Amino acid sequence: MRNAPPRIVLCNGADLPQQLAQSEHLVLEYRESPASSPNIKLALPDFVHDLFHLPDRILDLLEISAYVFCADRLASRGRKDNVEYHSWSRLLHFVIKVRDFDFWDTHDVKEKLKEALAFMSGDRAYHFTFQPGHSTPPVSLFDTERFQIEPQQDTRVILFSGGLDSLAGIIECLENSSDQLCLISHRSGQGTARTQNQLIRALHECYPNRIKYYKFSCKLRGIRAREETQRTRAFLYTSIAYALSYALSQGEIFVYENGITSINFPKQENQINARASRTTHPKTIILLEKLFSDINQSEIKINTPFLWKTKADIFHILDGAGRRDFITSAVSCSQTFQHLGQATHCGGCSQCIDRRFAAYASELDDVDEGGIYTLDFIQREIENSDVRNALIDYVRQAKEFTSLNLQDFYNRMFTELASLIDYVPGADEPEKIEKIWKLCHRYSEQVWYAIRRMREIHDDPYHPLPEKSFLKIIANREYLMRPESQPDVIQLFYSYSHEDEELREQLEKHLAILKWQGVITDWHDRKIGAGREWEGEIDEHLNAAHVILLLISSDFVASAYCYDVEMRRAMERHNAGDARVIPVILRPVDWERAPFGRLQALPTDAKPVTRWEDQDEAFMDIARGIREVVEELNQI
Amino acid sequence: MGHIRIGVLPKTQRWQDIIQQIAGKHVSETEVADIAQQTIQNVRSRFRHIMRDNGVLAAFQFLVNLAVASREENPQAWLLNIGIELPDDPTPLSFAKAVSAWIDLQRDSFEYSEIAQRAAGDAISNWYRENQLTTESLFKSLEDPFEVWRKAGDGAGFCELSRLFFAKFTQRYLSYFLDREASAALGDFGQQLERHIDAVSLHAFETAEITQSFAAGWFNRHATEGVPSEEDIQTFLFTAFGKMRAELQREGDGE
Repeated sequence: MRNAPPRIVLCNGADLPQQLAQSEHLVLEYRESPASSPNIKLALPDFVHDLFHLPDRILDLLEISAYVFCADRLASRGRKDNVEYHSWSRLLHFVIKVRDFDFWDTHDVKEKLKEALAFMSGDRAYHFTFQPGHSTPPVSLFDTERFQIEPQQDTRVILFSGGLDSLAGIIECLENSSDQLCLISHRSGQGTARTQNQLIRALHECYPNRIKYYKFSCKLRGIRAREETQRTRAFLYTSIAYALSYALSQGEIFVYENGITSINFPKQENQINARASRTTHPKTIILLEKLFSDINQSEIKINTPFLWKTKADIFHILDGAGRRDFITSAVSCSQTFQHLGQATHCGGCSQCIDRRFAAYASELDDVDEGGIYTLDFIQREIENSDVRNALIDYVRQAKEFTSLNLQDFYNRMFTELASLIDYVPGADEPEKIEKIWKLCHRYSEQVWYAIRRMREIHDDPYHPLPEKSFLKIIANREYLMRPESQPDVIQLFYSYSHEDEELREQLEKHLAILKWQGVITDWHDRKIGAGREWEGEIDEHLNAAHVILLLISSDFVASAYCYDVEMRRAMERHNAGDARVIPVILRPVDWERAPFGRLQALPTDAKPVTRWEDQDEAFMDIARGIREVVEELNQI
Repeated sequence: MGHIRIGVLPKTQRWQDIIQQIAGKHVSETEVADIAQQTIQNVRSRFRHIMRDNGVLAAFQFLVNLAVASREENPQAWLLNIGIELPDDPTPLSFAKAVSAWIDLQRDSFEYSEIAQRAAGDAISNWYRENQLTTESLFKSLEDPFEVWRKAGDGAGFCELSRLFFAKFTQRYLSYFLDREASAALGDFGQQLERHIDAVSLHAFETAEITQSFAAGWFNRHATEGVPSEEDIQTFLFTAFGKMRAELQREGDGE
């Protein structure tokens, strides 16, 4: 197979080297000059203006990363329906004029640049020829070495994309620390800018004086992108964040992305060579760290605190912080360049698919819907075969993760693990492999739970499903379902007084693992949808439950509805052998002579939860008791 | 972030015929064989490039070197001498990382060399699974990390190691195309295809005199006294891929 010749890219007015004189080349320029009109919009002066001053080497880095990003968008990687994807892996040769020539021209720096870019992009190779003599005028009177932003302690530089993961990271920091957050965004299009501005405004309102916001605009100007995949954008994003961290005298930056997305195991055999993107892959992060540390001449750390989290965990973080109202404003879609009308998400790209499953898995689907998706793949026809393939691949991979034990996972992902294992934190190889496996397994349980909820909510037996909808595809393809040996999911019903709501929430959290594992689903009256008839809905769930938890307290026994209606019906079903009733003693009350007084109560010795020195211990004891009952029911 | 480039099969009639064949139903064993055969037919000419690809050659050469090194007194030093660096206490993943580093030096097509690298990884992990005493030792370094590889150091062992490589390469190469459609249309197609290719490779390597005797004989002839040259390895690739392809055609024809 003959390899394509390198594509030559001349930047910053660089001269075409003699040895490349016969080659076709692309000229990229962002500065106005009489000789050429710029074809890149790069708001470097605005960025520097906000920071007073940046040294030459970092200005060079920002220009290099911008040129690489733009060339990446202009160099086609071939058609999706090619027989083989040989043109995917390009050979790009950049000739760039720089200010700090002596630094950039060193072999070691070039090698680090090449290695990071080749890995994150899946390209064949990047070559760099640097030329001296570049300069740009100061952007203001303060643009000298003498002026610097006053270094402050407890400052955190965070990459802010406008997506859910970075938003959750920011909110988590704001909630759990008193740090000043310096957020930095890459601005590429109007849609992204709108999203970022809207979220920043909302963050300012909720957390006044905690955030400083910086933005960096870089996009093509007057030419259309020929390639949408943009695999090198991580280089641009992190370069901007590093530049900001330098100006603020920080030695680290934060990139919030969940681990499933970062690792991004290929879902098809042809998704090799970074066709499953490696934007925040742990190896990409470490290679960039090494490059920035060289530039900085001291260690730069790129922290990825969400590496062991899933997208559903991200939803939980936002919900747990009481910020679920932010969710619809955050944009995850990779197709925002399409005209989506009022919707902000296409609904069919891999990011939209992941987000929707995560919303259902975290039971925040009612929050996440709200018309933000152009395509509702759950109930509507999926006409686009790419979307159908992406969706089924998504479920198929999750199903595979569910079925793989640690050893099978190791064998199945062997080559992927080889390129990953040196770059994830952990004591040793076995521990790291187990952590990755557990992450994938937990994620697969969440996907499974999401599918159950989608069916539970949308599969109306009185209405036929649209032929090409996800629910129909799932219904027709039993292979996507969990193996038969898996136990049935036990439905749990909480009967409780609203006075005990906090305790009920605590118990719910302790039962979360059973939910993630797909062992139980649970229901209480707070899950009644708006406008639904509450009494009928309670009856429906009470009559369907396999296990009914009576959360006993003085308020429970004093409540006519809890005691006379729910408890009586629960006992009827228990006595008929249709359900198992478990009294959970929350607070001290005289309950032994009640109709449920003869039943085995929890926690151990029926000691009320509020009497335990550590309430978590009490709930753990209750969760264990419930797990035993659930396992027993599954064996019947 | 988390973007995936979804591939689709070409719109030409011969690929559309395959799509038609696999669309919307569960596929029998005979049909899997037929689809594999048609796919091989469609990419027949490309095997010429695969057999000459330096990345593919490097992947297989790595396994040959491993088999040869296992007979040496100090296998690690021997490997280091030819440019394959391993840690003092290598685990199976260390070998997979070393394959990648070795191929990096000589990639032609990134597509072929990536498939070959994965096939070599499969061969390594399968070899460990089949020849290792305990599951635990899969993840940990061993007192003598080359003990497991010594079984590959004779004609019979090498025959099995190379069979694993060619079977896995062929399976991954066919999946490279068929996954684009099979993911949406079929149930356990991937597993069925894997089983089919495994059976085909067993047939090619065990029952067909040419491959088994060729593999063992080739190894004994070229690797007992020294290291096979690139030309020797190239010849082996031609023969083994040719045999695999012929077997797939034969199975598809229902012979």
